[in-house]
Amino acid sequence: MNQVAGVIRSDQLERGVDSVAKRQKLYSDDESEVESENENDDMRDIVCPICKTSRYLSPDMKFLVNPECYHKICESCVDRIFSLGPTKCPYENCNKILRKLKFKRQIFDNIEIEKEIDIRNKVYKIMNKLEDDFDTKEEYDKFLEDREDVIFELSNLDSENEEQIAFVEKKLSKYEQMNKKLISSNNQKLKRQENSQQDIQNMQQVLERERQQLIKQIDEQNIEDNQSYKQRIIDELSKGTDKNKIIANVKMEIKLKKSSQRRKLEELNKVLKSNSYTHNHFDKLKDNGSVADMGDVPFTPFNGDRDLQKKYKVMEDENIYYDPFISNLSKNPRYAANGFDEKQVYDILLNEAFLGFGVYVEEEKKTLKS
Amino acid sequence: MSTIKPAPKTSPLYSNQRITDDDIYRNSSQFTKWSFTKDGLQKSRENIAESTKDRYTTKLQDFLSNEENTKELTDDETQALKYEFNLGISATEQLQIVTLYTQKVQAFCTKLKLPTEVTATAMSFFKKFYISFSVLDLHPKNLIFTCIFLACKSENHFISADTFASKVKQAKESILDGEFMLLQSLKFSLMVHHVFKPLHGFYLDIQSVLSGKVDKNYLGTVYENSKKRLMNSYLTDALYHFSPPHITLSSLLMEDEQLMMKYLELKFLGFDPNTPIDKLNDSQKISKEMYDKLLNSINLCKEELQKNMIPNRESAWKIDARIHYYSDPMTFIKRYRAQKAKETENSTEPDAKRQKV
Repeated sequence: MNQVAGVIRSDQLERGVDSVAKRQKLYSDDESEVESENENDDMRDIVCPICKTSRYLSPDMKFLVNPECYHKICESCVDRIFSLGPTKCPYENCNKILRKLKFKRQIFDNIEIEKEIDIRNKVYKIMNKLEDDFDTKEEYDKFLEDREDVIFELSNLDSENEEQIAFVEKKLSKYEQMNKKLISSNNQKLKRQENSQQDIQNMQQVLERERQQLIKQIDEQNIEDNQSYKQRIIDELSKGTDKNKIIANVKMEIKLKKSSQRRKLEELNKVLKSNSYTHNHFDKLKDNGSVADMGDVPFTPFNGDRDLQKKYKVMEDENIYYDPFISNLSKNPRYAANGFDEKQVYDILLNEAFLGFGVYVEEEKKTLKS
Repeated sequence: MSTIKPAPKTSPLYSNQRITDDDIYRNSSQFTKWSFTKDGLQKSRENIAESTKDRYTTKLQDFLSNEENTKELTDDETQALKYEFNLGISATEQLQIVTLYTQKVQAFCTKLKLPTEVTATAMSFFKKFYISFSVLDLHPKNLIFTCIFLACKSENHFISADTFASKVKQAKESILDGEFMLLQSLKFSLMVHHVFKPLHGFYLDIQSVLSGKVDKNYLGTVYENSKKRLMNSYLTDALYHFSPPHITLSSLLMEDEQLMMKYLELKFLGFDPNTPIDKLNDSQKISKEMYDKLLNSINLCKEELQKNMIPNRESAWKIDARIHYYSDPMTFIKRYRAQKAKETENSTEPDAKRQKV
């Protein structure tokens, strides 16, 4: 377990070093012109390296990249150069053949990240096994690890290592052929999930809008009611019989009206709550928490759960512990208001009393040494 | 990574793995970095003493080989100097002087009215420093306030550096200068698992185990006395060799042996400890074994707590003077000459008086 973790960590470290080195290389390469101008932080100074149009002159200028080589080219250049069919990249020394169809907007400033995300999406579409497809968690973890390895190799290997890239790509395509059926079914599954999530969100939005409307209505009604209420009392009083009775009657009427609307709002709130995605999520957590023996526990720093069998028992009986200091504190309103709980303090103290109770330092240090 | 040792994996799923409180203590810095076997601790102290010895012998040689220093010295003085440097500061002597100054730390903390745990932390910081450093590196008296100040911070008892400096009437820089060195010597692990919370815990647990059999007011006095005794445990090496609950139990045992034996029996044994072994069933045998092991550890700890490393006034003065001389041999010569002058004065004075008569 520990060893594996260590290996992974050192791996990541190497990756970090690699990517930094690569990034530096990239800056000093063909992009240097654009990058250095980017650093100026002045948007108007950005110039398309092909046609030299600057953003200062045409503020609508957009840059596109092609996932083949990730060279920035402005939109009009793309139209101009590639509308007649696939052609070489206009950058010097870049011999990649590009198609207009594949051009897309760059989302991230850093090309490295943009590239990695493209590769990631591509790999995810192929290696898309779900947790249900595996018998044990370990196997699933191994699959995830493998997938990350493929992504890493594809995105971080130098172009000099073409053999290796070709090897990885071959592996990927082999995997695709072997698992064709599973891949398509999983893709559908994922799509369905996404759709259903969107449905939930849409419904939430509709409900939320309704709620806002209702609140607005109630507010408006309140203002109106207040005005009409005064008017009515004056009218009724002018007819004049028992004034107290009249006022009480009008008040009652308005109250009834209000409460019916309020009920509606409460109901809507309830629906909204039970439908909300986050709420469901928390409910699930709560349910799991009560089950003592969870099959799948989240990460814990010691690779396990706390032992629930204590060497002590906190007495439930009120007066069993005589501890004037702590019982006085719990009577103090300043502590009580903060949620000071006598029993919790006792629990903490008793826990401390037996923390390391079974540790025999001399003996264990000796065995640790040998 | 290698220090973290989870409980043995019993199942491929984590759910069946349970971390006991003992495992948690085993992962604490107090256990991983600041617990030693007795031999190990002794060895590291001797190593420090040894490396210090090399240092001051070369210092003496440098001093003697330098003409400017030696031209004024008489043979007598050189002899005395050599003799003084030959005495050296042994590991035990260093421990003695450090313990004495640790007591001073305690006294200052009481004067400043600092909470118990801050005092205890300051004392343990102070002692830990001199496991990896020698008294010649930094004189104990210069470390006292740095320790107290750092302990205040690490125990969440904040006093600003300016306020603290004015309270103890020291320069702020002199307090802060040694702080990094101190942190380094502590291996940057500031958490000290103290014995006071366990003491409070046992105070409660005794009440529940022996409910109705013990007078609550009496137990209160036992608690208070043990607390004082435990404060003194920071002058010993107990915290390096035993876990806090064991130290607490042995101090309680020293306070009232009868009461504690009854508690331990009821709590961990549940039957008469004098029953012959062949009459016990298997589970009883195991618990008897554990019980004996615990008692053994508590008794060893008791011995440790009873050790008194504080030197008497005279030897303390001698060691302290030696620390002074070793950092600058010239001070010894001055002192030696002054002493000589005094002696001659003393021997001549009575004669003068007699003549007058």
